Amino acid sequence: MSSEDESMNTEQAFDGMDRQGRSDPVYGFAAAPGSPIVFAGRASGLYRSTDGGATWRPVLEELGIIEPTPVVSVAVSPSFQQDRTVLAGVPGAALRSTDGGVAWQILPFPPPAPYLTVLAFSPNHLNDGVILAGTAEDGILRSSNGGDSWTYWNFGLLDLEILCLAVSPNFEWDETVYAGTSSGLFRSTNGGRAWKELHLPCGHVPVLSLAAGNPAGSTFPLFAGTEEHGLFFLEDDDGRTGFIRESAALQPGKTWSSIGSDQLKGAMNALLVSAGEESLCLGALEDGELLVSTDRGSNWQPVRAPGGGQEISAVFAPSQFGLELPLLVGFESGEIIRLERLQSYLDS
Amino acid sequence: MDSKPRSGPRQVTFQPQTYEEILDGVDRLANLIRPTLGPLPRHVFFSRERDALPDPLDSGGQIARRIPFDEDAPGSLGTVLLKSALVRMQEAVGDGTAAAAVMFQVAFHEGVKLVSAGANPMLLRRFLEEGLQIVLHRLERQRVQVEGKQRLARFAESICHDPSLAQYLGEIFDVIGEFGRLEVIPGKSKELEREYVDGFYWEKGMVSTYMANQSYRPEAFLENPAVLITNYYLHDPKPLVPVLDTAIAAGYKSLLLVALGFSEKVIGLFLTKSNQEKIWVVAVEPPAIGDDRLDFIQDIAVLTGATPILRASEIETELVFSSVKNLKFVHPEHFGRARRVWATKEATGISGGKADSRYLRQYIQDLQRRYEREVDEMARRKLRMRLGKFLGGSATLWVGGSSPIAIQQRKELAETTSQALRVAIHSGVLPGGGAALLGALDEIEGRRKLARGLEERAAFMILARMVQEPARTLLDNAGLAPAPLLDAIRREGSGYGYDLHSSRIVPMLEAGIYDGAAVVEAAVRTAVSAAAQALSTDVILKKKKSQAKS
Repeated sequence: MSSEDESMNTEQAFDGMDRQGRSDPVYGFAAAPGSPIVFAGRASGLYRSTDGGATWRPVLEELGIIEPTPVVSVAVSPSFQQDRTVLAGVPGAALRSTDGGVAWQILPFPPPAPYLTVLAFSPNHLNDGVILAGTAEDGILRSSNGGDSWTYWNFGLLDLEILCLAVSPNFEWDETVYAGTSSGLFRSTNGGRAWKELHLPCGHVPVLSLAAGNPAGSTFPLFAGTEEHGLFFLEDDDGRTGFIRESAALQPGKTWSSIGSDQLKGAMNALLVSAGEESLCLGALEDGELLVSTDRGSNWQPVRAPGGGQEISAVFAPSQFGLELPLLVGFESGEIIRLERLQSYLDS
Repeated sequence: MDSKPRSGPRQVTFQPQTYEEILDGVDRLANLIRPTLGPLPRHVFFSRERDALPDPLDSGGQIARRIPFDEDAPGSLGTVLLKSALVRMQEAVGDGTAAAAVMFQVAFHEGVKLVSAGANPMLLRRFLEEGLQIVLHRLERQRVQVEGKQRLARFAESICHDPSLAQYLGEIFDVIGEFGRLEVIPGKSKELEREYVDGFYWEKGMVSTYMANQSYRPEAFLENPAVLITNYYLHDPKPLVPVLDTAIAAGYKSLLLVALGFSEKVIGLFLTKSNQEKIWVVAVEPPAIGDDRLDFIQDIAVLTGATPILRASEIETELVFSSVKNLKFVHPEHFGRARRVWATKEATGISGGKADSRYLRQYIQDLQRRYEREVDEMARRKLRMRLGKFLGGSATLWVGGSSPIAIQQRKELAETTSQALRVAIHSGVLPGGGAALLGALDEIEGRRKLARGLEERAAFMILARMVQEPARTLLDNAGLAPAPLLDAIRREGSGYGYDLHSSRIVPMLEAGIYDGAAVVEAAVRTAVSAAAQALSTDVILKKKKSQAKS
């Protein structure tokens, strides 16, 4: 591919500087399913794009919040078309919009004021109203009424520093959620009320990123990106028990496999797994490398995307993750780029 | 009290009267328990006192406990043999006593016939024990884990036969897990209610309500406090002044101080306005005494990363964690930290202890290993409670009912079911309704066909009858003809049984009909062991009636 093609496909959507000229790290993205609206949480606040991430406008400024308010976590309801709900975690509180990100209200939390690191909606949110919030010091907060009230649910959680969450695609009936913490991985099979540790083969290490793969019947694979030990893959190994939790809980570590360990060196900051095509994975490493695997993580090839070795902090597929679809990449420096077609950045 | 050794005329019974006497007592108790087996149990009414309402019982263990022991009654040895086996079993696993009773009864009846026909009871015992291992192996192969509130609720319902109680217990144990603490309290309404308490808490509150800092209730709530633990009784406020200064200098705004006790002067020091403006102290006592207190101190120290201040004698005897021996040696690094501490007049709780999370895992694993190895039931219970504080938190269940007696019975039922649930979570479950034991039948019969001697053949005949007996009794109790149904179940294969609610033969696990694995194993072990003991009993020696009465 020529450099001319590349420039046509890549767009620097944000230069990464806040108003004072400081770097403005990107913490996370969230998009409304079936809509071009995308949100980005940054050190300087929350940003909204109405064109799939091509251009961005600050949201909180319109609320009259003048001081930069870091937004570490942002999530959009899976039933956005019906409920127009967006949640954003700010220090000590969360903001909720029920009109697609125009008007916002502060949600009450039990004391002490938590620092939200990750937010996740139940895929069945329209019916169950469940939202989970991971925090920096207080474990998991759970709401079952769309965010009106929150309760701490930390039974069995031995590390309250939550770094990432992954909700089962089958949550409606299996109620399974995974939480990556600063010292390991935990699983809840009752919708985030109680937790049990899943022992990774590399011991008690920080789990920075999680992604649930395409469900096959009642089971689904889980990918866990760690700080120093690469990527791990958990799969139901016998099919008899009908769900991965039995085999993994009874024989800790037995069903985990380390994948791509030759190529995946360093912290796996972000992870994407295709919903329709289980074999496609994308990992973002701390050193700025973006890698794609088309064989479920066995082999990885680099994405020749601009970024110049900057640390990648977030990757996101605004519509769906696929080689022919656009991808947003957020950097620790604050820059956001949009790759129109991932395939065109791969060596043939 | 008479300290002289008792001696005098004894009544000696030899065979065949020995077996007859034991059979008499076994039948007396087992026939009382037999109707209670299964999901459609019948009650056994026990009259406690004259004019009092009789208690309806539907648990073999409860019946065994309540049955009065009369040494002079015919068959007293048989009754006491079965009673003690069932009581021990109920204490260990909480349930399964009815299955054990009917298996023991049929095994003993069959055994007596075979011994009378010439089998050697000691050889029979050996082969029974050998056959037991085959049954246990077969059960092990059918064992699965039970998880999720719906499965736990179904299992609970198979124990308590109270759907709403089972739903609550299923949800509670899904949250608190095997080790979590559940307090069952008589409620004031007809309904059931539950509440969860997250984190590590104990039942000792702040020593003064002036330590409360919440405007709307007498409760203290501390954010990011320092935590200091000691097993000293704090009489003198003077050594505490530098401790408070150290905490203030380290940037703490509040302190949780756990000590054996506090004098009025010490409490006064904490409550002075000038001190409270600088650092808000909540003083509480540990919950336990003796060795338990040191365990508690160690648990809090690990949870919060604190270094406890211990008396020299206890440092010498309990060198299991680092400590300092005097308040004057307290440095900032000796304070533990927590994200949240709350205290009321009755209780104190810690959430988000700032321990090294990896060391905390090691500590918990060590407690779990000790729990697995421990055989003493009281010690196991203490270890379970300690583990529960780290792993499971606590729940309270208020049990309602239509009358005080109904509430009390439901409370006892909730406690028995809770124990069975813990065992099931720990050890897994088997196809219920006696199906798991029926799954061992083919292997036992195969072995019987290969048997060489009379005793070996007799032992496997007994075991074949035994493993069918719980399913047979269950069907009988439901008013069905057992024989054709047992044949039909056997034709379907392993894991199948009769669902009394749908009146169909179904794969029991898929239908959500479970028995606790440890319970079934304990029942078959109890039955074989008690039957072997009874069959090898030849002579009964007991005091004569007149002697016993005097």
